[in-house]
Amino acid sequence: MRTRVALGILTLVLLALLLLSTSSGRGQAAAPAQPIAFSHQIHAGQYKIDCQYCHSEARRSEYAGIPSVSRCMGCHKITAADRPEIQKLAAFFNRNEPIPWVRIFKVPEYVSFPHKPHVRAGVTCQACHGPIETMAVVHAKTGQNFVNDLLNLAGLARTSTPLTMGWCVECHTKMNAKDRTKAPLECLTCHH
Amino acid sequence: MSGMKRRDFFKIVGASAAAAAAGCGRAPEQILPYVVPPDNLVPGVASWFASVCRECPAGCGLIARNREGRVVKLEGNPDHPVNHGTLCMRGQSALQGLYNPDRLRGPLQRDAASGTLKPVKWEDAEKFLAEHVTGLVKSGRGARIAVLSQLESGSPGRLMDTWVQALGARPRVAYEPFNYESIRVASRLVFGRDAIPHYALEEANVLLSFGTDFLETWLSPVAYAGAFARLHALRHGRAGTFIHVEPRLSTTAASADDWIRNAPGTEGLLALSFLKVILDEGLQAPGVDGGALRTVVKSVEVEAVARQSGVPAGTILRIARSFARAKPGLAIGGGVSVNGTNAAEVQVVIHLLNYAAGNVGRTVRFGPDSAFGKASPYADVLALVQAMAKGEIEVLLLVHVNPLFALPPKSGFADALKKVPLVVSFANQPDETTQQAHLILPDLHPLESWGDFAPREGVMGLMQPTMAPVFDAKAVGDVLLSVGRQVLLTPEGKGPLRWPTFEEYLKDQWRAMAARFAPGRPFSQLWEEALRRGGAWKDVPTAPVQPRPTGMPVTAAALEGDGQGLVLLTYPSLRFYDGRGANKPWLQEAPDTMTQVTWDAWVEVPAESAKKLAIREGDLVRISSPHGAIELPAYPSESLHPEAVAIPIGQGHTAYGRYAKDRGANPLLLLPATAAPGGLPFLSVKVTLAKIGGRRPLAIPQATADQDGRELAQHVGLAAARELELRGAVPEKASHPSMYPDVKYPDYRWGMTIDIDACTGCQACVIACKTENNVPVVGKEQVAYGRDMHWLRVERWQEGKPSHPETLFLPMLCQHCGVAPCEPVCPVFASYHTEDGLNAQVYNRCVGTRYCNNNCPYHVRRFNWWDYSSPTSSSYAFPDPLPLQLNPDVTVRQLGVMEKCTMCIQRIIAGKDTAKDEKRQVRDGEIVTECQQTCPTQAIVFGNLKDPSSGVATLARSPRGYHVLEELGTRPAITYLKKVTRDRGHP
Repeated sequence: MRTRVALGILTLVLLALLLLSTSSGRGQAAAPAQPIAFSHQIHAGQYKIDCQYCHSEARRSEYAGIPSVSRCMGCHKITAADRPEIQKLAAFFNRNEPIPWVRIFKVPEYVSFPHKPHVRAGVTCQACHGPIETMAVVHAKTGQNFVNDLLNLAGLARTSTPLTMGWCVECHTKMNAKDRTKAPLECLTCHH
Repeated sequence: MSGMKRRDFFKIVGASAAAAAAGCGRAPEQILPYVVPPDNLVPGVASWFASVCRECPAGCGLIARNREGRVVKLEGNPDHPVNHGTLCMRGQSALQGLYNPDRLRGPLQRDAASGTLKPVKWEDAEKFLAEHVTGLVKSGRGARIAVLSQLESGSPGRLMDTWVQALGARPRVAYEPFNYESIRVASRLVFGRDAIPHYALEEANVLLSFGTDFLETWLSPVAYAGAFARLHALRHGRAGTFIHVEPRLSTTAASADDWIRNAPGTEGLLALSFLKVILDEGLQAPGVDGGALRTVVKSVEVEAVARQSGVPAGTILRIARSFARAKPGLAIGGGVSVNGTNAAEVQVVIHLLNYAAGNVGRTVRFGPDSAFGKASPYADVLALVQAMAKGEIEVLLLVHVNPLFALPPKSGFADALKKVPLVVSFANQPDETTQQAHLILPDLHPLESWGDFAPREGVMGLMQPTMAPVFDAKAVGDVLLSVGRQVLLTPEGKGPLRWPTFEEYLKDQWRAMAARFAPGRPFSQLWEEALRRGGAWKDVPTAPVQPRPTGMPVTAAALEGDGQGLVLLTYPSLRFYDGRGANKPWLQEAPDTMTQVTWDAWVEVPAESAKKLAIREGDLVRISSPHGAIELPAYPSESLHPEAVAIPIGQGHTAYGRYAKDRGANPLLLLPATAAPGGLPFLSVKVTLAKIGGRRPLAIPQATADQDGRELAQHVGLAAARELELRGAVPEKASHPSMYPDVKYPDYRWGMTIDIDACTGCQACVIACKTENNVPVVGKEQVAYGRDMHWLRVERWQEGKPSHPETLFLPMLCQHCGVAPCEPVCPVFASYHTEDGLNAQVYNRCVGTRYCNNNCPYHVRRFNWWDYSSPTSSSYAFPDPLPLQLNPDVTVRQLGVMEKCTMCIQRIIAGKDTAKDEKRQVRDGEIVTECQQTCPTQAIVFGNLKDPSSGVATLARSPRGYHVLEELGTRPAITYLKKVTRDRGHP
């Protein structure tokens, strides 16, 4: 009897929450408008420019690094300099102004995520950021996601990379089981 | 429900709730890249810049950690010959001067009509000043321009002097409230050398100090604390002895092996009686001219001195003998108790004592003289005040001085200042003096500036900007050069002020010095090396000096005021120095070592008087001298000499920003302003006390000094410690039984040793920890509730006779127990044991039950009772621009979360990361915790206990090692080393 009542309550709660929740999860709008219509699909996909050519801090630092405006201009002084989007870039450069990119990927403030050890351990960028080389506009569904959790419970693959703790830990565990890597599982590694 | 595990249920409920909450949405966050990135800068990786600490004229070298363009941490410069990589609490707090929320935002000019300060453009302000100066210079009245600056022993001072000369202004006065003039005067009289020598404490076997607060503020406290630790440590069976003569149990006195409580003002007589004993018993060093010295001590009678000073004749004999036989010993004098009207006489006798014992040239070294010898005598300051009062000064430039606070009001500075038509202040923070200024041209903070400072001969510390200016400030040097050129009508590159910027001037000065410091090497090489190392230094040979024993009569300090009154001891504060530190909340919240008082000022009243007047702690007391009266809460003290009252200098600001506001009274109000032969006589009045009714309870985090038999801080006699050392480590005690299986640590077991024999209670670690770990400041009220957030505190325990206690300092922090009581009680697994042996606290798991805190026997856990981290909260601890200081590697904790010492986990992770990159284990000494890094006496050692050869494991096996509350079976990772006490000659 008690189990039934509990199950009933649970169903009701879940239904209510399901109604309230949206399928987009907790993250920002899937693909926010950026100040310049930069396409990863062209740079990383079509021209196969190495990610770390622009995000060069990833192997040295906690941050992957957003390329400086001058680095963009290194190529675009000549390359496609006549296109309107590139002219926007040149305008930022000439005004000596940073480009106000809208942030897509973010872990909470109480999480310390260093890129360096992941890059050095050979984790691909796509493992966390998704198939970025196919995205004309970068979008991500990060954060806790009901659909993902249901899929995960059922033992199926997730539809996106949620950057949640469980997901991080899962990867670390798998890596440790598979290779001789020692991906830390200590809480303090990220939470300090 | 059987198909679903409990954890999964929570997961889904949690996920859905989070999804629901997301409906509200978040404002999109922007990431701004550099337009053109600075060379060699990797965001997320710290850059270090070497500079000089300018919180006091000791001139310690520091290195500043710069993250993404902002300095987040200061550390001692390991290469620097003064402080060898350590730093005191005031040095650590320099950051809160840099990021002080009350700092001046830009230049201000007083509006003639309304009398208020209004923002002004730099060009206009400079033009205004130049016009005034031009008027005076053109009409041949250049001498009516005066410069009053702090002590600058390097290029900034030279530039000011060049400026003064070029314009024909009055010679600059370099004002330091504590200038140790009496030592200089005595050196001149005895050795014919106008200098303050360098004291080699580390080489002395017996240190005899007359009131010298060398562990707090005297001359170069970080350097002398380090040297003292080397003198005092038990090593290979040998340990030096420290004898201290002072009426008050100061922080320095608490570290003494033998603290002699004398009647205030009798230090000179005591020193003279020591000299007499040495001569009478023929203990003087070979070659010492005993005949000449005998004339000095002719009229001294040991018995009479004993009566007057209250120090038994037997003690005088004992001290004199042990000092003379030390070979070498060292006698030093300083601090308020010898700074009376007879200060110069006392220092003369101290010099003669050193001469008689053969210490001059060995532990007393002329040659590497202290920078303090270049500060202007106090009489020069008074002469300037008189000139101002007579209307002889028309433009007064004040460079980093606050005479309205630091000079006794009796000097008449306030009235004299009103007679000056144009007062220009270069302060970067509003203070009492800027309030009266007509033009405020905020200087850059030392951490934003170019400059140099020579703490002693042979050492030249170089300052470089460690970050871009926080506010619209301009270097004094740049302003002086630009104004000077406008006055002289000379272009850049020509004339006596030809340098376009102060930076160029500095480089020119160093070019001239290159020949001295690096003969035969190109300048560019020296410059680059100096920038990297923080300066240039070379050994200065000890100069031979010949004493001329003078027959100066030595008297007790003359005291004015009520004959029945108590002698006033106004001493420089360990936390605020002369008051310049009072605007820094870290220093306000750090407890005063001996009284443990935070945030307030107090008057230390001897227990006898307190009893007579029925004064309890926190009762308001009026202290009256012939010169003024102030009111302060009382702090009754058993150890203070019954004829004295003591008040620290530093509090009582009326206009020094929000943190210094309403904090007691300035004791300088009680002092006369006349100049004695040794400068301003701090010990010169007797005061009367009166209970005025009313209370202002003091916020004291550690209210008792009684260990109640718990043996938290332990000690061992010197003889016993020697024997233990000879016999080696005692066999490990049977460990306490535990219900849990032994924890296995796969790679590391982090641990620490703290040598409480070396700890001097200076509180540097307390502040360093706050700085590194984003620990909030909570304010007086919360401290009084016991809600201070210090992760590390220095407990002060006392044993023995209350009037003459043995003081033990015990730095207390999370013990990282092997069997930690905090861990099993946490209902949410926020407190747990890591595989490296740390007691982890996961902030985002913590729900704030405080069970861990209740179960911790060491009381080291700290709870966020208020929201210190949110800008909208009323208890927000980081008003702008203080957040710039926050360490980006450490979470800023929120309301309702428990926190505590992490053994600097961010540093451990960084160290392990480096080791992993290089495919090796962490090396011993590679990871240094913040408290260890800053400790002037290097009492703290951190490392891997699993490695038996590591420094920490070796020390942990010391026969002096013990665990606090060992009997609880918590198996702490911190081993304390017992204090080594000497037998005292008296009960």
